[in-house]
Amino acid sequence: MNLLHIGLGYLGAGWGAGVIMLAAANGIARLSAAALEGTARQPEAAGNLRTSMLIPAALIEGLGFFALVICLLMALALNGVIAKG
Amino acid sequence: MDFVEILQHHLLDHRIVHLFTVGSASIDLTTHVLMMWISGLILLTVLMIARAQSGPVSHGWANLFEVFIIYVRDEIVRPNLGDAGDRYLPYFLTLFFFILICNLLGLVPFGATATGNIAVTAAMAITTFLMINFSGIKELGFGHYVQTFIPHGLPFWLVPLMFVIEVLGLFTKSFALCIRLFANMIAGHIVILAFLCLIFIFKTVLVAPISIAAAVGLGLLEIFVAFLQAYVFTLLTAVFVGGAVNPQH
Repeated sequence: MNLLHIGLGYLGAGWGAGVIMLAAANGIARLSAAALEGTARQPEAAGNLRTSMLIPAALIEGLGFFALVICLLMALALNGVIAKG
Repeated sequence: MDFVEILQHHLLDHRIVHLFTVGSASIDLTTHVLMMWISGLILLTVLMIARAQSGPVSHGWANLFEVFIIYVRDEIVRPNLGDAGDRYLPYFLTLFFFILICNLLGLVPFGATATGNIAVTAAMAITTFLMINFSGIKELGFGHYVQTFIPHGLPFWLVPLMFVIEVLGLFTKSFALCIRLFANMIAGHIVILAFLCLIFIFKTVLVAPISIAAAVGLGLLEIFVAFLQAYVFTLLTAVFVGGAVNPQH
């Protein structure tokens, strides 16, 4: 059991979650910016734009949660490694 | 109790009473099963009352549910499945209301989130998977349904690869539905519990105003996420079933 390797493993899990959060927030921010601009140009289309924005936002958020689950599994596996030896 | 034990106590399934044993699997009444039964009972009673109160002029509960039912029918089912989608409307309405009430039951005191258990969301995703395939085979026939997995206008050497990718996409869509609902429900509860445990980690009561304000704000966000995730699950199921029932391009 090499502490450096285990530390790097935890670091990877934490940084991975952070990078995914950056990417997901960037994607959803672009989406909502486009929806807001469209609503500003044409207020009657607000309802359609909102619906079209929610679906990709939920899908991107789903990707973010995939990564969260992966990082959680990594951290829990490392906990198990430490507990065993 | 440390943080991990508190999380395990609130978020994992706990056995209440053992019911019977099938082979080596023991079937128990657990907290999440109890929550699903409560959700079913709530929906049965309230919807029966709503049906009794509905009519040319509806009173009470019927008006409330009419908003949701008309929304599901006109914004989710009919645009994606066409007007023949009214046959699938009971399944989508059941899905939407069951997920909604299960999500909301996790926010009341002494309640647990049944949809925060990956077995529950996996079962719903498997049901959606079967629904997509059965509706596609029933509407198009087995041969034509398999043909929809091959996109148009491709060079012939690309067809086997695209077929494999499309079949994999079928499994990925259901898996994504499962993980999306599960992770949304669990993440909200973990963050609320983490904020409240900060008081005990710092061992001072001065953290309490921040913690409780954050927990209340996150609780309100959780209500919004409960509605949104029920809507998104139903909408994506409708999109996938619609793609299998009438594939245009």
